[in-house]
Amino acid sequence: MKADFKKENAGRIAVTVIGFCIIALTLAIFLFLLNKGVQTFTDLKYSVLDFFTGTNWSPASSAGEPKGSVGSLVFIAGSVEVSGLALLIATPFAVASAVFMSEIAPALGRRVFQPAVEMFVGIPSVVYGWIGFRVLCPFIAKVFHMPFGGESLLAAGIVLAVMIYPTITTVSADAVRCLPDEYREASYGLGSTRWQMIRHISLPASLPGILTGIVLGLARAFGEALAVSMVIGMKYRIPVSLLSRTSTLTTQIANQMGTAPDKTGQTDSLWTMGLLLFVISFLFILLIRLIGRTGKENRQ
Amino acid sequence: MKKSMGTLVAAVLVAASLLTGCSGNSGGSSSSAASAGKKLDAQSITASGSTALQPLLTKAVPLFKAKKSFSGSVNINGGGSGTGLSDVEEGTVGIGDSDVTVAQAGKSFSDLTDHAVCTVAVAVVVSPDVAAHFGNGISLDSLKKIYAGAYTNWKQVPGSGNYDQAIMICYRKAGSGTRTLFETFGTGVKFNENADYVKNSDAFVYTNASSDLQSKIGGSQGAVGYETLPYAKEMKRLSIDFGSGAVPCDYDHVDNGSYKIWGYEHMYTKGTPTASVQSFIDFVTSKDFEQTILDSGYGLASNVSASAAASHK
Repeated sequence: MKADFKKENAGRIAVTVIGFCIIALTLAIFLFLLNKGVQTFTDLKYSVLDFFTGTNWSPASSAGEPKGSVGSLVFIAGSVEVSGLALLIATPFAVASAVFMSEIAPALGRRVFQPAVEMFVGIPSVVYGWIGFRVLCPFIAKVFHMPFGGESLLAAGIVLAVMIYPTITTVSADAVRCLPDEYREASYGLGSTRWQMIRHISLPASLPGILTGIVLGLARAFGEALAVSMVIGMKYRIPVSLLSRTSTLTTQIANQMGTAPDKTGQTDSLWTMGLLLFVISFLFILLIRLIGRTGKENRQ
Repeated sequence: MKKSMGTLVAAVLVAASLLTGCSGNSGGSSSSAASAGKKLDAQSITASGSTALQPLLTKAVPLFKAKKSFSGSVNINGGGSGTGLSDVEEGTVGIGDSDVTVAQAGKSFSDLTDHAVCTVAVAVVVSPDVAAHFGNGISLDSLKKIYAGAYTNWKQVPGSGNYDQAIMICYRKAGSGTRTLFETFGTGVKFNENADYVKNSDAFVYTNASSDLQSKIGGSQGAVGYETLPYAKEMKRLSIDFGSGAVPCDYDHVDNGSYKIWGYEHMYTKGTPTASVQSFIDFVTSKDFEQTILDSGYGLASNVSASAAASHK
């Protein structure tokens, strides 16, 4: 009897300790990023307004150089536009696939479609970037008559759309599948066709789940660095058309890290970008939880 | 069942702690003892930096291990000359590889020791179609104008035989040693990717690494870029006219001073290097390694004439 109690307590203590360690780790990462990211403005005295609205990123990379500026609007705009474009391309396909998998052909969906979609998730992002660089960019260059290569916002958007499609699809399909059958039977009982049922009952009712999938996909697109850097063209310019070249927060960090020593404008502004990315991902998670909660209330 | 699980977990933890203890110890063993005997302690050697020097050092590793019976690990990483200098200054690596000196890189580290390994020439590489039209090579002045955005079409460039093709201009990232060498001894002007003429023109293309450049230049028309000679072996290189006739890019012309776009490959260390690091550097700069240096597309520092060396201080 006593031995069982001991094991019970031991197990509970172990799990609690590990749980707290993970929370502490997340908090530590955030505090570290906060500390380093704010140094750009407190120690090196770059202007916060300039960071968010300036377009000239040319900070000093060693102590002797002139201070320069850390205008990161190009990267922020690039990140937002690339992720937005990817979402725009991927969402219709993903929601359609989700409806197909769960309502229209559930048996085929479960046995063939879902494993195929889930396989996509496992492919490393660098593979997408490589295929995008070698196949998609020359194709875009040929179609749009771009003499200098097809790296562009469009190429990055397509590559990211392919990457986030499985995420949105699987979450949405689960959401649609989890609807209680009573909803569907009630709809059929009132004499609706299958499409009317999908359009008026299934989709609106599973909207919270679909939105969750969309926000997850958006978060993944926002955080992708390597695949995007291979196909986006790496120019310090706010993208104005689909064929513009630009840079994002993630590609700038990936490209510039390690080049400059610590405590210089170049490295510290990268920390600030990292902090910005962390805060944005955190906001996405908050958004997901908010959607989830309202969804539950609506269901009640 | 639960008892065996507990012992299994405990055994794994003990084994893991033993392993970490082992690797920790070898790093801590004193370096002073090693300099006396022939047998080197198995400390690891890490180098980072120039991707231009990286293939040569990677070739040196098995030769070094065989010759000095070195049993530790030797890691040669890339990242660019700027990264190499920063890393060795911060103590992250033992050797910082760089295509340029600390001063040329624009940094102010004062406590790094320079070991010159070999020379490397930077060639101007072009797409095959451009090479077919350039009989006599390109003038340095034209190169300056191309990278300044003054020439946008090859027909504007003297010596191109009126070849009507838009110029695609490839450049490397800001910390790249190859780029610094090209700017210091070639165009003489720092290329600024923040300049409006670069930002607004799709003709200026960023290439990440040497292999990137090769696929861009080989697969496009009208492209021009710069690359170190070991990587440029498969690409079409242009001779450059520095003012007294077109000079091809090879080490004979580097050594006699007529081809000016070259630099020493440096391995930088901070403070006193460990015995294994010192031994590796000694091996790479020794006579045994000279043939490999030449075969790999680099030049010997000892072959450089006095006048050429003076202009590259």
